[in-house]
Amino acid sequence: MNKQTVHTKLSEAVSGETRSELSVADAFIKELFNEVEKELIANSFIKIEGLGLLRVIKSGENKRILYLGSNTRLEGEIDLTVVNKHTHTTEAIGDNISFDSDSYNDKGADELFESFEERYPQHNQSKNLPQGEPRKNVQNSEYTYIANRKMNLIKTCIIALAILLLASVGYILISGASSKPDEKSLRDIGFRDIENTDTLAFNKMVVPQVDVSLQYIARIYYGDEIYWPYVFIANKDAANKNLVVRGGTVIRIPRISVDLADLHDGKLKTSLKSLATDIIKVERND
Amino acid sequence: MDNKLCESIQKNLEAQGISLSDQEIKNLYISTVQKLYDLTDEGEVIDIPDFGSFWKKKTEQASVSLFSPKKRLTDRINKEDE
Repeated sequence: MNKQTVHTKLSEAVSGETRSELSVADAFIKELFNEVEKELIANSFIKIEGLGLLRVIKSGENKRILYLGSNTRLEGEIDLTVVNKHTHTTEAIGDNISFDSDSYNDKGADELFESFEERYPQHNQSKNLPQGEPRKNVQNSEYTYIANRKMNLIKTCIIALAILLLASVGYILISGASSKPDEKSLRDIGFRDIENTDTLAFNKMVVPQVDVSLQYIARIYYGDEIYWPYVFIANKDAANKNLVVRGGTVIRIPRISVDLADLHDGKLKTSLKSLATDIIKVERND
Repeated sequence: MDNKLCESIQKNLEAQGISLSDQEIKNLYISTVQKLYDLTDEGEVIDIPDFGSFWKKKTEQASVSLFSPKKRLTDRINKEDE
């Protein structure tokens, strides 16, 4: 061999002669010899006009290719009246491009080219993402990120509501079960009225079905627990030190004059409180 | 000119997105074969990737066209028998 020539020289020559793009000429040559190869494998030989004959022959245990080159150049003229449309396209584009570069020579690249971020500021947030990643993927990642955040927010809200609901139910159950269970029971069970043997002194006589405080009795029958000292006075033996009346005990509900029931009277209120304090002191000391 | 060969090439190129008319294919075929002849005649070695190299050995009285296949092509030909 005299010298090695790369295939591009052939492509360039063909491209120049046929006025086709170099890539088209290159692709054509590649496909031409692909077809030659297929033919060689399928039929063991191929004759190319102007090039010669290629034949697969047996040589020992292996096969090799015998080439008989053509001694005459292929006759035929290239018809350039049919201009390659790819060339057309290139020329058309070229017609619209100004090659007058004088006006650009004194300008920097920053002045000549507008960056993507400048042109589309709404995409600026994607600058922080890894370089080299396709912009389409970056947008998809942004959408996925926003969707995930929304989903997380919804999940958090649902969990918070569920916790709130459970806490409310728990509070209702606990408060209903523990706060003043006896009073709740009293309201349910109530007091049993018995015959009033002294209607002048007592409004009525009742028997609580469970243990009950004097304050509660006062609230039930007088509307305010502040009157409990009156109940105590009428039932001294019934209440214990804690001012609780045992269930089943007869309780007398005393009649109270209007003068003694006026809570707008500040003096009366004060004296009732004082009386209550004294009762408690006495009961505790006993 | 081998019309069948040109048709196959035309279809293959179209599959690659390169659409060429019959005349363009014919032009390319003629040009390729002629340039291959001319360049080897000038003493060039034309290397076709994955296929082989064409060149000519010239003496005072005669000129012999030669072809040296790539190993891949030889392997493929021999592999077809297996």
